[in-house]
Amino acid sequence: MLTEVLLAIFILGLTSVSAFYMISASGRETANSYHQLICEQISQEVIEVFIAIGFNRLSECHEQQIAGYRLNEWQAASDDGQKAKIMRPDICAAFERKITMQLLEKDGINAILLNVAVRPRNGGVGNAAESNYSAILVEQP
Amino acid sequence: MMSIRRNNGSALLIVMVVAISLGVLALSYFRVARENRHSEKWYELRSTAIEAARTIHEEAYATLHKDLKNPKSQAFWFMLGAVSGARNELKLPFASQNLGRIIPDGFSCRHSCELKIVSFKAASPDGRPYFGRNEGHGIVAIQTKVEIFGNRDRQRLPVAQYYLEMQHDYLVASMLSPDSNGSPFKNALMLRRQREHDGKNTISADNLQLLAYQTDAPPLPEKIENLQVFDRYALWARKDLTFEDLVRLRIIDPRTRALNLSGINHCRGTIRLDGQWQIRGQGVLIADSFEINDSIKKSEGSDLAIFYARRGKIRVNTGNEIHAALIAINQSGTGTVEAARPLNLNGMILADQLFFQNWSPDEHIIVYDRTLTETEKAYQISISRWVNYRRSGETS
Repeated sequence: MLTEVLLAIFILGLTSVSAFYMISASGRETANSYHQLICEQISQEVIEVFIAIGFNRLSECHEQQIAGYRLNEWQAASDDGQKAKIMRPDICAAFERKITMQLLEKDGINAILLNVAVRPRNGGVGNAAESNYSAILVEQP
Repeated sequence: MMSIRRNNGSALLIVMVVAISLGVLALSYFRVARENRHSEKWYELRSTAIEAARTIHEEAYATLHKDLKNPKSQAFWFMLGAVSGARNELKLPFASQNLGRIIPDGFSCRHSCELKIVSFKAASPDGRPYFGRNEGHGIVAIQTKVEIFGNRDRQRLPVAQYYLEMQHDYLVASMLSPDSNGSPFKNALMLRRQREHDGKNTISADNLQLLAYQTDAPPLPEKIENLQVFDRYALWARKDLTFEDLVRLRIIDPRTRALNLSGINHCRGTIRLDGQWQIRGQGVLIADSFEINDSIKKSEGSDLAIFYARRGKIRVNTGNEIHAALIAINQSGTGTVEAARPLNLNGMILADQLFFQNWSPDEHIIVYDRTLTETEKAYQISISRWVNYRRSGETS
C-alpha cells in the first residue's frame, strides 16, 4: 500500500513539475514571440521610412543622421530625436537599433543594402537576442 | 482487505489518468509551441519574400526604363508591336547576385520576373488613328514571383512565397509624327504661310542667302498650310514640365552637357540652350519658344532631335553646327525661325514664315538630315513610373 501511494505521489510530482515547467516555458515563449515581433516592427519602421526617402536622396546624403535616424551607431528605438513622430508601444523603449547602409552595383543597377540590427538595451528584455533585418533599395529612374 | 486494495488501486488509477492527461496536454503544448515557432519563422520569411519581390520589381522597372531607351534592346523589340497577352521574361542580374544578402541563413530564394502586355490600343482617346505602324498606348504588367526554401528540405517545398504584380502605362510614339504619307518632314525647308518661297533650294533676300541642300527633295505637300505635327497629345510622354523639370529629369543634363532625348516632352516657357550640347537618343522637345546659343551635335548618326516651338519663335544665335529639326508653327501662323549668325543647320526647318529682316546678312545653310525620313527607326517607348494597378498575395 505504501509503495503504491509513494508511486502515485512520484508520478503526480513528476507530472506536476512538468506542468509547471510547461506553464513557465509557455510564458517565456510567448514573451519571446512578442519581443521578436517588436524587434521586427522596430526594424520594419526604419526600412519603410528609408524606402519612402528613396535611393536618390539616401545616396546623396553624407550625414550621419537621416530623418533623425542615426547611422552606424546604436540608438534607442524610442529616441525623441527622430523627426518621424511615430507612436510606438512602450516596450519599444527597451530596445535599441543600429542602421548600416552599403552601396551595391551590378551592370549599371545601383542600390543600397539597408541593414537594421535590433537588440535589447543593456541586455534587459527576457532572452531576446540581437536580430538583423535587411532590405535592398534600388535606384529608380 | 480486498476493499482497501481496491481503494489503493483506484488512487493509483486516478493518478495514472491525471498523469496521462497531463502527458497529453504536454504533448499538445509541445506541438503548439513548435507550430508557434514555425509561424514566427514563416512570418519573418514572408516579410523577407515581400521585400525581395519589391527589390525585384524596382530592378525590373529600372532595367526596363533603361532598356526602352535603347532600340537594340530585347525589351524594346518585345514592346514594339506587342499585342495584348504577350509575355517576355526579364533577366535581372542584380537580384540574382544580391538577393541572398537579405535571405536569412539556412534558406535560399528562387525568383522570376515577367513582362505581360495587358492591353494595347492603336488609336487616340478621341478616336483618331495613329499612322505610325506601331504607335499607340497600352498597359504593361511587371509580374514577380518569389519563393523561399529551407536548404535542408530535400523536397524543395517553398516555406514562404509571394507574388507581386504592378501595372504601368506605356506609349509607343514615332518621333517623326507620321501621317498617312509617312514622315511629314520631307524637305529641308518647309514654310506653311509663305508660298512664294516654297520648294526653292535657294532663297535670297537683302544681303542674305538661305541655301537648302537636299539630294532628293520631293514636292511640298499641297495642303502644307494645314500641316499639323505632334497633334496626338496622348503620345506625349510628359506635359507641362518646366525647364527645371527637364534638368531634374536629366533630359537636359548640364553636368554631361547632354540632351538625353527619349519620347515627346512638353515644357512651358522658353528653352534656352547655352554652351555646347550633345544629343543622345531620339526625342522631341516642345516648348513655347527656343533660344539656341551654341552648337548641338549628335553623338551617333541615328540620334534625332526635334525642337518644336508652339507659341513663339526659335532664335539661333550661333554659327556653330546644329543637328536638329527646328519647327515653329502655331494656330495664328506666326511661328518663325530666326538666325542672328550664319546658320549651319543639319536637319530641317518647318515654320509658318521666315522674317528675313530679323536674320543676319550672311549665307545660311540647311543640310537635310535623312534620319528625318526613317519613320520605322524613330519609335520611342515611354513607360510611366506611376503604378495604376497592383496585385499581390501568396500566389498569382
